[in-house]
Amino acid sequence: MSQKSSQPLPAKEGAHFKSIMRLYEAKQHKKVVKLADQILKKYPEHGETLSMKGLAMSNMDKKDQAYELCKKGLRCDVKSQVCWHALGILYRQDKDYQEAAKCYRQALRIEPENFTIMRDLSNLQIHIRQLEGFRETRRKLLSLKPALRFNWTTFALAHHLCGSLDAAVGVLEEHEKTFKDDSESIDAYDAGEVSMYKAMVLEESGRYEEAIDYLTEQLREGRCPDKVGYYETVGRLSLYLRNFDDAHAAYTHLFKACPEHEDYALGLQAATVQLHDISPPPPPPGDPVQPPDSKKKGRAKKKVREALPNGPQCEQPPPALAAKECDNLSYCLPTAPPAASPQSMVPPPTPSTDAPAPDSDSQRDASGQGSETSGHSAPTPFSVGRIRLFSKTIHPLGKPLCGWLEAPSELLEGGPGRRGDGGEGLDGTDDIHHRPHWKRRKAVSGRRFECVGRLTDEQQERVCGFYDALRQQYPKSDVVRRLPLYFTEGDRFAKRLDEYLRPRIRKGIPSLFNLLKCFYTPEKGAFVEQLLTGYLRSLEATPSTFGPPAGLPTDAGDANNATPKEELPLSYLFTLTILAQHADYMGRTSEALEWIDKAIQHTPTLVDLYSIKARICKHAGAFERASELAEEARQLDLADRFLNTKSVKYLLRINKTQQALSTALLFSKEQDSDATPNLFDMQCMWFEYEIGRAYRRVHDYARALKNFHRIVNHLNDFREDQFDFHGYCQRKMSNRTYLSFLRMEDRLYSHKFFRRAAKQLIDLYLFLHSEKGKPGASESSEAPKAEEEALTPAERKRLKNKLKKEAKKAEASSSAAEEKTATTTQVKSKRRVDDDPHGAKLIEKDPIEEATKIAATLQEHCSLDPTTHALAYRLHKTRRMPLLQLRALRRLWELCQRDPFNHKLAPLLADFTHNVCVNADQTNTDAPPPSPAPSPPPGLSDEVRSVLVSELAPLLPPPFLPAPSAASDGGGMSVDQLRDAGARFATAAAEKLGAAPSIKMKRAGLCVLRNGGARLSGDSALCKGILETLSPRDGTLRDCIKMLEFLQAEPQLQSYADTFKSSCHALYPLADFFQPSPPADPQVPP
Amino acid sequence: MVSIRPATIDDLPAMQHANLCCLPENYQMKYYLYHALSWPQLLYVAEDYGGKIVGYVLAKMEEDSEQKHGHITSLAVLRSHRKMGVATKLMQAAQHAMEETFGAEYVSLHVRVTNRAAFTLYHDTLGYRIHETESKYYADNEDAYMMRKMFDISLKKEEDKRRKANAIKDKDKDSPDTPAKKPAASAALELPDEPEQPSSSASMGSRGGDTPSPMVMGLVQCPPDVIARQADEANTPQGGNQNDLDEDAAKKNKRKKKKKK
Repeated sequence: MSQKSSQPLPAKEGAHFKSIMRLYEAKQHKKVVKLADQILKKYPEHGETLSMKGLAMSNMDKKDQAYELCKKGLRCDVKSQVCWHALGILYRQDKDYQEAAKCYRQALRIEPENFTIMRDLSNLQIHIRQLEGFRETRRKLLSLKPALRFNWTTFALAHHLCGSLDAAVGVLEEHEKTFKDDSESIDAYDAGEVSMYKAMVLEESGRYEEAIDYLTEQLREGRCPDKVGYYETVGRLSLYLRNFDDAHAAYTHLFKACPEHEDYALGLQAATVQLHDISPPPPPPGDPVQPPDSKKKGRAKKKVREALPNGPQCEQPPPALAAKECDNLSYCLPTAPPAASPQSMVPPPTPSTDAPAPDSDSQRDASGQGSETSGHSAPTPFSVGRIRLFSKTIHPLGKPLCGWLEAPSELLEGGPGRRGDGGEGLDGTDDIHHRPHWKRRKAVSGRRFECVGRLTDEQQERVCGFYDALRQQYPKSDVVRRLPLYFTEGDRFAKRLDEYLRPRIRKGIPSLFNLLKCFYTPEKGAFVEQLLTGYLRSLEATPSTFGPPAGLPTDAGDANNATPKEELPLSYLFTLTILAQHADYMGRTSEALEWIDKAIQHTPTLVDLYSIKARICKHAGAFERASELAEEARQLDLADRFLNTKSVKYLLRINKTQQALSTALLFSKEQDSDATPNLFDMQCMWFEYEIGRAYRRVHDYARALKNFHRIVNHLNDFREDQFDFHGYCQRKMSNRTYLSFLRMEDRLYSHKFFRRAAKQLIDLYLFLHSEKGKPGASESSEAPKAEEEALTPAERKRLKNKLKKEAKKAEASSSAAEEKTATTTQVKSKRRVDDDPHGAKLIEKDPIEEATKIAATLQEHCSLDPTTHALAYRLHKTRRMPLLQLRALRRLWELCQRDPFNHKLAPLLADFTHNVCVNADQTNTDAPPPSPAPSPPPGLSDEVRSVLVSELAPLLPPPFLPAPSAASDGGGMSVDQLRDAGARFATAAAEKLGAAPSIKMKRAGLCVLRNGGARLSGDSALCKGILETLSPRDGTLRDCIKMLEFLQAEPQLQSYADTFKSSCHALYPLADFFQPSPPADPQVPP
Repeated sequence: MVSIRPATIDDLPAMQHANLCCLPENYQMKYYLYHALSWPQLLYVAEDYGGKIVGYVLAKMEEDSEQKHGHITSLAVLRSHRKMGVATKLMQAAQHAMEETFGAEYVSLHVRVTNRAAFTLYHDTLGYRIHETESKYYADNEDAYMMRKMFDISLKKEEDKRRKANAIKDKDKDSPDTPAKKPAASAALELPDEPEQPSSSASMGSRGGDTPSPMVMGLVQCPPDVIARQADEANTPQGGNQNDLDEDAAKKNKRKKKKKK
């Protein structure tokens, strides 16, 4: 290229330059610099040499000089693509992809046919998702080198990404034609991937028959090595097409290959016409929902009736919008006093006391983006809840994957999913799982199968027949024994559970209880308990047996019962264990401890018993004791990292950060400190999250920030990791996988790992900001010292040593790093020393600015999570940006299905109306004393205020607003009117929330009052009413702790706090947090 | 309780989490990505009722060696979900895919010589045989057994080879040699177990289930130093074999460098 250059070099230097290029490829950066210097001595203005030197410097970690050189090089030789390319590379190294793309484009302008630059550009474009640009570049690449197969497939992918599915198919067909006679240049697997990709595009464009035909032909020709992929596709598409024979055949193949895959069994079930009244096959994605045939509908309705009072009501046709809102409202805020009686359930729109119905409703409604969007009254058997019976391999709206944010499972309190512990808010007494108090979160119990509803005897019989037939074919499959348990009831259930449990208890499966958890509906739960206590009784007798089989009429069971086999002691042991877990699950802690102690006495060497006991203690709030037990378990098997992990988690719960760290480091590869921890390199996010929270609780905010930021960094790294794979995947032509990869990366920041870290960060930053404003502002930096004081001398010594070691190590490794760059950089020096291991620098940054950054990401990627908007509201309030506050409110409102009384929304709404009005009235006066709000922004203009008022109006339900026609000046509402409306709303919301038999709701009610400008005290009747009905039984342990913290923070409510605490203590006698003595540190995060 | 299913890209964070919770050998996300993007069919996960990933198998193909074969990189089952045959089923699923989709002739793995539970699983339940012992394979200097399990293809091949050899020999009337050769051929398939092979009592313990012996199942094969090597591969997925673009090699390498950064 130097020949083409505008600055030709004489022969000798020309040769030098060529070797520079060669050396650069060989990563001999030092030599590159040396040679470049030789050329530059004679030709100091030679642009390309300057640029190459710059590149080499950049790889030697001399970034500043690198940029200087490259920019100078470019100035000297603007017409050289080398110079542009080099600068582009620099930018790309520093992840400034936009700038890099610009440089590449310039380089291409000079050398439009340069394949490499073009390919690099295309990789940049896909990385920053400039999809149209990517398509254009890929088009050029294809025309440049049509002999390369992957240029075809990647071009097809570009079309696909741009939404031109037909064009993508066209390109793939062209590709097939072009390479028709050339099967040599591609290996069988890659060819198969291309076929599968084409089928995928066909499927996404709704051309199901074509996709099946195409794939089947490929299979016939032996071009489809991925049989699982083939059958999964064919099975799914055949279900969409209602071609049940083919679907059945496909799922039979799949199930044969993997008889432990639940979804294959469910696929088979969906392909079995005789079972369609029980589990209808899912509709094709994106299609308008198929009208159910009348027969089915009738049955469904009947089923609902039968299912009363407690049965799930998924089949219930969605009520009309109004009714639905009412329903949802009642769901969040049961107005009627909880009556665990059927009569409250008769009229459908009134508060329903059964949990699943609102669940399925909320599922259906909240999935705004789904095809079966809410609000329309077309009755359908395919609620999203129903589709979620299946997995994502069967339907894109299928069961969500763990950790990813999805509508609607993690959306609303009470919605199914791992996060929400709602449900207890439905009504206090008829908790369908009959789970008193302590659980931190509601179990996912049976949710997936609840949508099926309660089956009639005849239906149960059919399902069982179906699975029993499968059992004949696949005698080893656990799935075919397990699934009927979800569909059966009563004696039939008891019998099957009994058959299922016995051999597994005999075998001693530690996780057996996890299975049972799914069945804790009041009825099935009772069976489980009966069964287990029955076992125990019989096992304690001689001969030790499980007793007669359950679920059979007493006379029928006798035949099998003739010769009971003597059980081994193991059966007794595991029955005790499961009973302990059962009692724990039911909240009967002392009983649970009794059982588990008995078990430990029986076999003191079984590690899992200690883990279980630790869990029981944890659930009882005895975190200290739990940690001791977890540690005991760890000591029993030091080589087991799982036990180590548990112990570390339990230690962190009681804020023993040092001990937790040193325990965790036992499994870390190198002797490292927390300056360059192996845990960090290995992206151990759970640990960083937990220790971050612990640090926060002990007021070591810098370290807390540091750890939360590490998580964010990991996510950023995951995103960056993408870059290396673009070219790789394109060349492999595995577009199917590549596409799912790109899609995953696109929603990376909605993953739980990011979400929860981001929430902690924003919350912490807001806290730090408020601390800064306070008089004793230096507090936060003192805090770590205070903690240090609290350490024992030994611990302090250890800490000191540690710091010393770290300092030494940092020194050593920085010099080592230099050495390393000096030698050839073999291993990438990613192990650069963290120059801020404890977050000291982080904490100096402006908290609001940092929080805003994080919040922006959170809002972009996690808008389905209500907490996102609640945090955004708080942040914008601090930033005094009322319009943004309002936006957050409105989004939250939408998420809450426009229910202003939602316990997440109401307090914020009260706060906002109050403050807008205050601002309007008292411009330029001091902030109102009771509210922590910042003083009103000086120039809240009338325009802004009127926007606020008019945009706010829809959020307040009609009764609180003057009729719209009555509103003055152009449909707007005056501030006075709004204030009145806000006040009325706050009172009503507080009343409603306060009347709910749920601690969480009551706390929200109190927040509404406080945010509405009221002073919380026993003098107010409303406030008093809420406070006096507090019962720790109406919430989880965590709810109680949060409530207590809330009360303790209110100076006027101390006496209530004390009362509440003692009633909590009565319920959780072991809980550290409720011990009557002056409490230790608060144990649980705010 | 546990469903065994093919993993998707979306499962990778949860797989990494499971790995970090229960195995001493850990990998960066990139390494998981490398597997998932190269051999998506070879990754399986075990999912509990609530959707939590409680086990996984991470495997790959060694395509460059003379015999195309699979390799188990990592296998883990959370302690809370052991004794249910999850590991076995994960392994079987991955092996099946290796054979069916990639035409592997055999599958190999490494296991710590002291990891009896894992050894028992591989040897007794799944039919792996020790191929060789690699000394100081792991970072802590522990030795590893390199174990192999032959698939039908290679068994068939062996059979064919033998038959052919016999036929030739028959022709050459070199018959006296044949009986001697036969055992040699099959010996490759059924290596005599190493003397150090865990006694059968160990297998009784974990399979018979009558003693509640804790199952130590840190079923990891791939130590970090090996990973460093492999991760390097992953770092430069473009590095390898593309002879199609020779004239652009220069620029390509430029990019490669970048990646290292």
